[in-house]
Amino acid sequence: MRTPAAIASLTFSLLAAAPLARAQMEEIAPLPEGPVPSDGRTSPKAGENKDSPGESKAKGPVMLEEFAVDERDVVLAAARTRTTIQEAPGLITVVTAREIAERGHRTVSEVLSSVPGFEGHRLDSNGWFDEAVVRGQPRTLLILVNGVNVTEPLRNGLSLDSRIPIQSIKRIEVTNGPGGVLWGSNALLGIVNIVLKDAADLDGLELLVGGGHGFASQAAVKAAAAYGGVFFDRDLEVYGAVGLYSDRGDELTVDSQKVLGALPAPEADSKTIVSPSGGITDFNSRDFWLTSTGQIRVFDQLTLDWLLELEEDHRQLATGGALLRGEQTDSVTGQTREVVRETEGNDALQMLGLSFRRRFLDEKFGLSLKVYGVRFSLDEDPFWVFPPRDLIANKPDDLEPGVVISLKAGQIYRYGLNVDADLELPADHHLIFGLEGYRETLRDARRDDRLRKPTLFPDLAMPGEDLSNAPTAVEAGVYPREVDGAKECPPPGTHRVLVRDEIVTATFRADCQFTDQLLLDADRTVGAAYLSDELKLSSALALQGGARLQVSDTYDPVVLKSGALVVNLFDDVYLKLNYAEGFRPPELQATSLNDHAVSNIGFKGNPDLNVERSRSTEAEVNALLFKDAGFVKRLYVRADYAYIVLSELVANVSGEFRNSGQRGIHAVEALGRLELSGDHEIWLGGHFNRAEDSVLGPVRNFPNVTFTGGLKVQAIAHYLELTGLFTFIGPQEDLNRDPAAGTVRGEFVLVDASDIAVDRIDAYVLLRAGIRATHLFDDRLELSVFGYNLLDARTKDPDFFFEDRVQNRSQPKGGLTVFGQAIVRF
Amino acid sequence: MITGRWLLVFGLLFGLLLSGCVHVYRGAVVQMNLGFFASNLPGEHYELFANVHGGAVSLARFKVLDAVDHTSEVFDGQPRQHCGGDPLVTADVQRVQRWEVDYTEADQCDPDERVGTIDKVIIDTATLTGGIRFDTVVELADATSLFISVESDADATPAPSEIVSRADLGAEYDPFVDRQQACLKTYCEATPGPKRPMPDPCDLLGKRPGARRGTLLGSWVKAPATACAEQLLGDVAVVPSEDETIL
Repeated sequence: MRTPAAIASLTFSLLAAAPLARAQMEEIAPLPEGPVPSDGRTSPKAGENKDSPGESKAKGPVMLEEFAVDERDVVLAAARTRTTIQEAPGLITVVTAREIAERGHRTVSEVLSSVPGFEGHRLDSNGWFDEAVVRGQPRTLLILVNGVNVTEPLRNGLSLDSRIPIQSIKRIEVTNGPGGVLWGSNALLGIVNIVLKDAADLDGLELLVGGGHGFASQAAVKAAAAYGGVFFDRDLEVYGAVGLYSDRGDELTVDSQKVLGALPAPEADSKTIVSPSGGITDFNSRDFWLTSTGQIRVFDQLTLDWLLELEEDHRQLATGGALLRGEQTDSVTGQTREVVRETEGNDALQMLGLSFRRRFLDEKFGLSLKVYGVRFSLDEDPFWVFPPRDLIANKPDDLEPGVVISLKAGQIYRYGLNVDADLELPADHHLIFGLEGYRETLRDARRDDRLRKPTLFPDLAMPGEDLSNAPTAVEAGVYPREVDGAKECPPPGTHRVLVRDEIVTATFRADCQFTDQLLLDADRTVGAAYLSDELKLSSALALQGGARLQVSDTYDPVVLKSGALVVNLFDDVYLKLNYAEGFRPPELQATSLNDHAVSNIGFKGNPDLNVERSRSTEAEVNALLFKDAGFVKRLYVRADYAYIVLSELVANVSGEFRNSGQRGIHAVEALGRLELSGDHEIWLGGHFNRAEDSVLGPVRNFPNVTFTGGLKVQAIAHYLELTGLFTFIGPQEDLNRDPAAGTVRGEFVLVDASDIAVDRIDAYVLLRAGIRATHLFDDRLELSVFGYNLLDARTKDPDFFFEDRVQNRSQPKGGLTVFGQAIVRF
Repeated sequence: MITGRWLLVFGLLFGLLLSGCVHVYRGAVVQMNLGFFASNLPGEHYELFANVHGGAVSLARFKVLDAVDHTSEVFDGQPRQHCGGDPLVTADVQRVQRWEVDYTEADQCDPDERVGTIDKVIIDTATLTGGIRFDTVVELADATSLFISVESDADATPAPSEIVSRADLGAEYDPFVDRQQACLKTYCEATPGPKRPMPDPCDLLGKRPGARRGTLLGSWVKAPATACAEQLLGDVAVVPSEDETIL
C-alpha cells in the first residue's frame, strides 16, 4: 500500500500550492445560463462537444442527460435537428468525459455500472471478458465506437476493460432497450455508443501518468499522451492519443472450484466434478493494454477516425473458476501446493473509419457516407476449458485443471459501408433513412492441443483407406500408444485423421502436440435498409415509426419495427411510450465450430441457426423539476418500465447449438439527480429486474435489485472536488457453487444432478471515494486519487446461466484498490 | 407548491416503479437420478406427479429409452442411429425424453426433448452420464412427495395409473435418511456387535448429511414401500419457485 500513500501525499502537497496557482489563473468562464428553448434544442457545456453544426449554433444550458442524442450520429449531426434525451423516443443516458473524470471511472464497464439497468464488470470466459450486462442478460449489447459496430461476432460481445482507453472518450451514449431498426445487428437489449475525443476536446498536448495498487489491480501503472490542434481556419482538425495501462492482475480467493462436467456440455443433467479445495492466486504475469485513438477531419466534411489496440491479458482462474496458478489448500489434508499455470490472451481490436457528411437542399437534406473496417485478433490460451477425459480414471498426475484448448491466430474482419440520410419534409415530417452493407470473415482460428488418451483418439485412417496419397504416411492406429512401455506419438507432419467418420487433416509436432482448425473459416455478408419517420403533430406531441429489412447469406431475412409516442405533458415533463425490436445474429462460435476437429470436444456447430430476437414495450416519464429554485439548481427525475420478450434464444442441446426457448423480462429503472448551486450534485438510480425463462425457469443469476448513487461536493469551488459513490448489488443465486453433497473421489467431489443446492450470493456494496484537484496552474494540472471497493467486498459472480455445470464459471473478484493520476496540459 | 400537475408527475413515476411488482410466475426445477429404472415398453411412458396440498399434480411425462436408436448424422449415405447426443459417448445408456400425449414416434429422439439420462458412471471408458432434469411451471414449495406412474401412451388423463416409485420430500434434508436412521437404530439395538457385518453399518448411526440450502430433497423408492425394506432407486432434489434474490 505504499504506492497509493505516496500518491495521496503528493496530491495533498500539490493541493497546498493551489491557492498560489489560483492567483495566476484567468477568470473561469461561467457555464452558459438561461432557459431551455421551447424546441428543446440545447447547447453543450464548455469544454464539451462543440463540433457538430447544430451544437455550435444552439444556445441554452445543458444537463448531462439532456445532451444531444445521436440516434445515428452522422445523420443527426447533419440534420442539425438534435433532440434532447427528454424527447428522444428511447430510454437514453449520456455520460460525458467530465462525468467520467468526476466519478473516477476506469473502464467503460465501470461507466455502465452507473447506468440504471446495467450491471458492469461481469467476467466471462477465463475472466478476460469484462462484460456489461443489461437487464440481467449477457451479450445483448451493441457496442459502437464512433458509430461503428465493434461487437465481436465470435461471441457477440466485447470486453469493456482497458482496451478502450477511458481518457480518450468524449461521451458514452447508452440506450436501454432494443434498437434494431436504426442499428441492426446486436442491438438486442441495449446500445452503447462510445464517442471518442477529437480536436474540439483538446488544444495542445496532454500527458497523463498514474499508478495504483490493490487486490483488484496489482501494481498498476498508466501513461498516456494526446495532442489536439486546429489548422488552416479549421479546415484541418487533428487529434491523436496513445495510452498504456498495465497491471499484474487481481488477487483472487477461490473457495471451491468447478473443474469439469460431462460432455457434451452444457447438458442440463450432467454431473459436475468439483474440487472443494480453496486457493489464492498469485501475482499475474504483467498485463498490458496499448491503445491509440484519433481523428483527422478536413474541410469539416471528411473524417478519418481510428481505435487501435493491442493487449496481453493473463488470468489465473479457468473458465469454471478452477485455480490455475497460486497456492492451493487441500480441504481434506490441509496441505498446500503450488499450482503453476495461467491463461494468456493476446487479443487485439482495430477500428478504422472514413466518413463524409454534407447537407444539401437548403440544409433540408443531409447525407453521410461511412466506410469502415474492424479487425479482431484472437489468440487465447486456453480459449476454453474442457475436461481431460481421464479425470475420473483415478490418475491424479493427470488432474491438472482441464486446460486443454488454445485458440491461435484467429482473425475476424468486419468491413462495410453505411449510407445515412435525413430529409425534412413538409408537415413536420423528418425522415431518417439509409442503407448498410458489410461483410464479416473469420479466418485461421486454429487450435493447439496435445493428444491425451488412447481411448479417445481416433484411427488415423478409415479401415481399408489408401494412405499412399496422404501428406505423411503413418501407420493407422490409435495414438498416442504405448510401444515397449514408451509413449509413441504420430511423427511430426500433417496427417489424415479419422474424426466422426470423416477424414480430416491435422498438423502434428513432437510429443503428440498438434494444430488443427478449431473454427471453420466463415463469411457473413449483410445488407440492410431502414426508414424512420418522426412526425411532430404539435409542440407537445410527437410520433415516430420505423422499419428495417436486413438480409444475410447466413440467416433468414429479418424485418424489424419500432414505434414511439412522446408527449410533453407540461413544462419539462415528458411521457414516452415505446415499442422496439432488436435481434442478435448467431455467434460464430455456435455456427462455425469445427466438429470434425481432432480430439473433438463434443460440441457441434450449427450453421442453420436463426437470429435471436427481442421485442420491448416501454413507458417512461422524465421531468426537469425545481429549476433555479433557490439553492436547488434543478432536479432531474425519470422512471421507466419495460417488458421484453427474448425469443429464439440459442442454447446448446445435446452438444449442438439450437434455437430454443424464450425469456420474459420485467425491468423498472429510475434515476434522479439533484444539482445544487455551487456545482454540488447528488444522484441516485436503480433498477429492478425479473426474468422468466421457458427452459430454465426463473432466472436468478443476476441481482433483481441494484442501486447506485453518490454525491459530488466542491470543497474549494472550482479547485477541489470530493466524490463518493456507492453501488448496491442485490443478492444473486447460483447452483452448486459450493458442493453440499456428492461422491468424494480422491481430492474431487463428483456431484450428481440431484446433489443440487442453491447457493446464495449475498448482497454487497461497492464504495468508491475520490478527491480531484482541478484547474491548477492555469488549468494545466489536474490530480486525482480514487479508492475503489473501499469496503473490500470480496464478491463472486454466479454462473451466467444459473446452471450447476461447468459450462461457464463462478468467478471471484478482487477487493480494495487505490489509483491516482496526474494530467498535465501544455 | 404542489399542484395537481406535480401530483400527476409523481403519480406516474411511482406507478412505473410499482409496475415492477407485477406478479411474475416462477416455476421449479426438478433434478433427479434414477438407477436401475426400466426402459419403457412400446406404447407406454412414465408420468411424474407431485403431491401438493393432498392432491396429485402432474408435472411431466417422459419415456426411458435405450439410447442408441436415432440420429441426424449421415454416414456413407445412411442415417446413423445415436439417440444419445454425443457420438463420442458410445456407451449403452438409457435416454430420457419428454413425452406428450400428442407426440409422434419421431419426437422420441428429438434432442430438444431430451431431459437426461438414467444415472450411470462408466469408469472404464471415462464416460459420465447424468441424471434427469425437468423445469416445471408448477409451484412445488409445498410439495410433500413425488411419485412416478406408468401410463399408456393413449392415456391423456392427468391421473396416476400404476405407481412404480415414490419419493417423500423434506426441506433441505431427505426424509429417507431419517427413515434409514430409524431402521438402523432398530437393527443396531437388535443385533449385537459380533453379529454385525464389517464394516459395521452401525458406525453410520447418527450421521446425517448437511443441509442443502434452497432445495427439497427425497429418495426414490420402489412403491409400495415396506418399512426398513425400501428398494432405493435414486434420489431427487427440487428447487422450488420461491427465491431470495430480492433482498
